[in-house]
Amino acid sequence: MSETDPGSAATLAHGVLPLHPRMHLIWALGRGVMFAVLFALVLVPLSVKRELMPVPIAIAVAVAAGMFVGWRQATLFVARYAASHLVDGVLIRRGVWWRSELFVPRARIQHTEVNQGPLDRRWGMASVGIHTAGTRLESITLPGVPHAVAVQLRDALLDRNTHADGA
Amino acid sequence: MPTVPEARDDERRLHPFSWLFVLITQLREVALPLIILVLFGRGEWWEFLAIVGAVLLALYSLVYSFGFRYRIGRDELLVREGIFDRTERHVPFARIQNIARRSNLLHRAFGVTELRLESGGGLKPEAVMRVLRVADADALVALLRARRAAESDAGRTEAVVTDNEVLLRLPLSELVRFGLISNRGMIVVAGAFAAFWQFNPSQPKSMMRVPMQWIERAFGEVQAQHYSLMTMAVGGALLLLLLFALLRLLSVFLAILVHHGFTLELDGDRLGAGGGLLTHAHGSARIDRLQMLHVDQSLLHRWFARMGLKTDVAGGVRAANDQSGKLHWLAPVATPVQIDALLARVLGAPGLGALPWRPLHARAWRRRARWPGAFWLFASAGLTFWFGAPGLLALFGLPWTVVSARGWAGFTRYAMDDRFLAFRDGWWSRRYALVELDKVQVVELSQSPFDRRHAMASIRVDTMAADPLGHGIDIPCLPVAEARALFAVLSRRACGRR
Repeated sequence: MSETDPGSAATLAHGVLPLHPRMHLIWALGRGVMFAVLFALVLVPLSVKRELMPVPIAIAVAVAAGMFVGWRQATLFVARYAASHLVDGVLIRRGVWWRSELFVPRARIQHTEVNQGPLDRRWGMASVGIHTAGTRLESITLPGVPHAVAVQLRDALLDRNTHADGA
Repeated sequence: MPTVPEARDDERRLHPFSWLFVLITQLREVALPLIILVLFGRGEWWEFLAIVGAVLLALYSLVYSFGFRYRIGRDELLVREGIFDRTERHVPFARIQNIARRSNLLHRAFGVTELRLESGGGLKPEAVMRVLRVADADALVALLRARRAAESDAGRTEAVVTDNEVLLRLPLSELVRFGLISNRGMIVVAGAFAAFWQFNPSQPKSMMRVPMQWIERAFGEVQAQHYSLMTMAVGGALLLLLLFALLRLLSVFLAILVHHGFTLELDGDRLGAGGGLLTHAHGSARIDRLQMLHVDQSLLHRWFARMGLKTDVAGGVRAANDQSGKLHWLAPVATPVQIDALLARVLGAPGLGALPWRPLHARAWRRRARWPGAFWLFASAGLTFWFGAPGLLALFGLPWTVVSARGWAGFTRYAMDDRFLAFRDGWWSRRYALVELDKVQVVELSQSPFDRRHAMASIRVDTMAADPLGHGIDIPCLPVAEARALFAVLSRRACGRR
């Protein structure tokens, strides 16, 4: 499992957290499917109505174009994505068109969790879930963290001080 | 003032008639679906299965309530529930943050009350005592407060023993004003109308038949009498006015029903508020559990020179509901001077007018006007295409958009001093949100592509118990440098650093 993976050798340090290279593929696939469906919704009716091309070819074109745009979009997303482990919290920068910077103070973190799906386990990575007591931004997920780093981050983020929840 | 009983190690049970109240609560949950099934169901087998299940559930909870015991220990409350499936819960006094009491007419007839003890987190209360004798409940509440005061600070015990300080009491005249402002009647009527419609899907016109008949009859008479257009217009206007007045009257009635005898009290470090004509709901919470404070000022509020003040309280059920006995309203209606005095007394906050308000980006109104402006342009183009020149009338929407956007940008401000962050927005209807910097949970700075083009950014702040869909601190259209500075300060303060 993760023992032999390249990511597991990494140790947690303050600064930008490493992002597993496979995340690019995962994000590209997710966006690719979305764009492919969007393109198909336009291309297929057009090809039926205007007889531009046979439907299977229209679908193939939509999938190819969707995957291409998805890949480009994911490349931009990866370039702009940065989750940083700071002394007093976590700072997440993300987004290409709609950008956001999110700061979660360590003192406000109620609990953290490390999740691994089948692909995560295969590639030795995990996502770290950070939960606060808020209601609008109460759950923040950091995907694609190398598993060893994720486990260290999970433990490092828990503030053991009592009465630090801001209530 | 009830005497504070000594902690004894014997177990106590609920009031002997508790089963009645548990049954009523259960039935209320079950009754509505039951009635709907019986009245509107089509006799499907699964509907009767559901009824059988519901009845069984009610019976089970009845038996369950008989197994409820509680014991006041030295520093904890021990609650035992259940007969077949026994649960023993130790609730340390220090963990009980909010105490909510509720008593309706039936409770009062039996001289009992329902008590809910809530801890800091979680959705379920730590203990629900349904129901206790009023004297027992008073004694338990007094004991809890005395214990906690003794735990936190020996000096504060005196403050607990002294009488409560009444911060606000709403006389009937204020409740009438509140009713006129709140217009709950409209919501209730609309809700009833929607529900009625919902349960008659097969014949949606049937419920409209009666009012339609009235209207037809009225118009028949009008036609028979050959009234002039003027008479009909005046008659119609009077009818609308009458309807409007009736709705407002209903609102006033509802306001009195919910908030009759409303009092806000300060008891040591706790705030308590409650009222009600038939069902008396009283909620209390420690002041340091208050999160974001909200002040509403609609156009009607301003005509009456009033505002409304409510709060989010950490812990307990998220969907804060003043009917459940949770502290929510601090002042359903009060003058701006009273609101400022309350803010100063409760939180030591400066008045709403005294906060150092800062404006948004100078071009914020243009951003605000852009989309509605585009809408009116397209609407006008479309209408002109279909109906000719009269469609150009839609262009009158444009100046309105500009005026309202400028009005909004003129009022919308944020303020931060060394303790508080505040945000106000609106134009005719105005809202304020105020939160202590130490209560900030998460800070977000976001930029849309449009923001980036105008060198703007938004700041959003998350707090405990905030209504995810309600008004909060979400400051749009800030100059980007100012937003970054604010983000840095808020992040620092959320960490507890200066």
